[in-house]
Amino acid sequence: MFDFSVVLKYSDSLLNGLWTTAWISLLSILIGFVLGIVLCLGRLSSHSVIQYCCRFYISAVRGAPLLVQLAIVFYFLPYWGINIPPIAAAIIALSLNTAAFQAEILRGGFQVIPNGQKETAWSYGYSAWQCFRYIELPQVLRNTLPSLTNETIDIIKNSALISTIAVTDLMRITQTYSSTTYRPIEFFVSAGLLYLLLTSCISVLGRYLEARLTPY
Amino acid sequence: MEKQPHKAIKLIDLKKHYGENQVLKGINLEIDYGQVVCIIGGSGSGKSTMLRCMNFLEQYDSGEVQINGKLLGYGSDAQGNLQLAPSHITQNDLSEVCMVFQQFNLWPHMNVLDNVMSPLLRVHKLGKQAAREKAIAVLEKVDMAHKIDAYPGQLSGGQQQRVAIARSLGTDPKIMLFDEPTSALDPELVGEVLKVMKSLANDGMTMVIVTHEMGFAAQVSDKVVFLAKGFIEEQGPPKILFTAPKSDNLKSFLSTWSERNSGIV
Repeated sequence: MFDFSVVLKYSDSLLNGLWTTAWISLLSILIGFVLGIVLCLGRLSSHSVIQYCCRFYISAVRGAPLLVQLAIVFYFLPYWGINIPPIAAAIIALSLNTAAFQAEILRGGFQVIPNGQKETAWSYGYSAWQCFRYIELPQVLRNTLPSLTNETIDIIKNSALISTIAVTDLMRITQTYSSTTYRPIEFFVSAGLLYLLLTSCISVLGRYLEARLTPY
Repeated sequence: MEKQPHKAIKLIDLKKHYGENQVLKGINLEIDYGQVVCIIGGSGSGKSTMLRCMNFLEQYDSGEVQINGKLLGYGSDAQGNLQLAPSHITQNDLSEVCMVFQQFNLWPHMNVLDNVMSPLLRVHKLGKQAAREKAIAVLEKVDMAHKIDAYPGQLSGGQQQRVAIARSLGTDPKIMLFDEPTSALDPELVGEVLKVMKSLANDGMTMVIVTHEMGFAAQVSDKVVFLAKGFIEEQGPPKILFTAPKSDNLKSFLSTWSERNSGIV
């Protein structure tokens, strides 16, 4: 009844799609991390205009579907005369999206550090940057690693939506072959397993890093 | 101690309030280099706030804090008006001042050695080898050199506080401020910290100590300052202050303390 041999025939394409999904997601996570730190610091800033803007951005992005955000980036940029390939649009949309979520994760990480630790650094003569780099960031990374791992897994799964803007990721390839071969069950089950494989690798990596980075 | 042209710390009519609450109502105090001064007083008397002003962890509203003769935290602008000084200038003026905190404030993600080395590497720009040697030397001084690989979370409070003192000593301070250094400790751990502080006092370190350890204050200090409700109510050598208190506030403060310590209350 089910015939998975047809999937094997297209396994090269599926693996290519998996690779596309993986690198787009991971690149977006990294870009989103940098943006997330900036957003988070803005959100924690004592400057009220900066704080308000960051807050607005975070609420707006977290409150609207990723599909809508993808469409906006993909359709509106050309409308303003900016033509970019679908893959770039996908990376931009995913990065901007995860940045908001990561900003909130990181904010929690910064807020649990007792003020006394920063006062101590200041009284030893640390600049604001040194305090951030040597005192706060290492602790924030350690404390938020489980949540950041989760967010990475979320982005990998959500990245299936970029198939809607003609990026040939795993989902797009799965959809294509399931309709040309009339074997949707086999292809979608296989795609699901491949996503699972990728996200499992991420959670194993996350747990490994957690164990390495938590000496205390 | 060689003769210094300036007072280590001078407070002139120092005032500070939080909202409606006037915490310091005009403090005048002079501390010489080499002096050990203990600040006592009930909770809410302003003693911690006063100490934190000496390190500019609190901005003060009016009056002056002078460290080695230099006004702390403020500078004159082109028109001669006082302005908040840039942070790095204030930090530079405080380069010979260190604070030891009630909660130790060791950085939990660094082991003992890294905690002591970090300021030497990041601020004092020592090389790795030099910083390491210095860190081990000061850790030996507080008898913690055998724990260099431990993380703060693995140490007792007394051990953490001794590491915190070592971290301060590494930066060669001339003035050390102690903000209730033994108040967060289990009673049996207080002694080991006081012992280290006593040896610092004997070495001639300038120390300002906010404390509830009256016995210790009586033993080591050159001067005891009693704060009540934002004023210095009484100050003087411990022998006089503890045996012949003049003000009613100090009398009742001392009697409450001695009752508690003799187990009556």
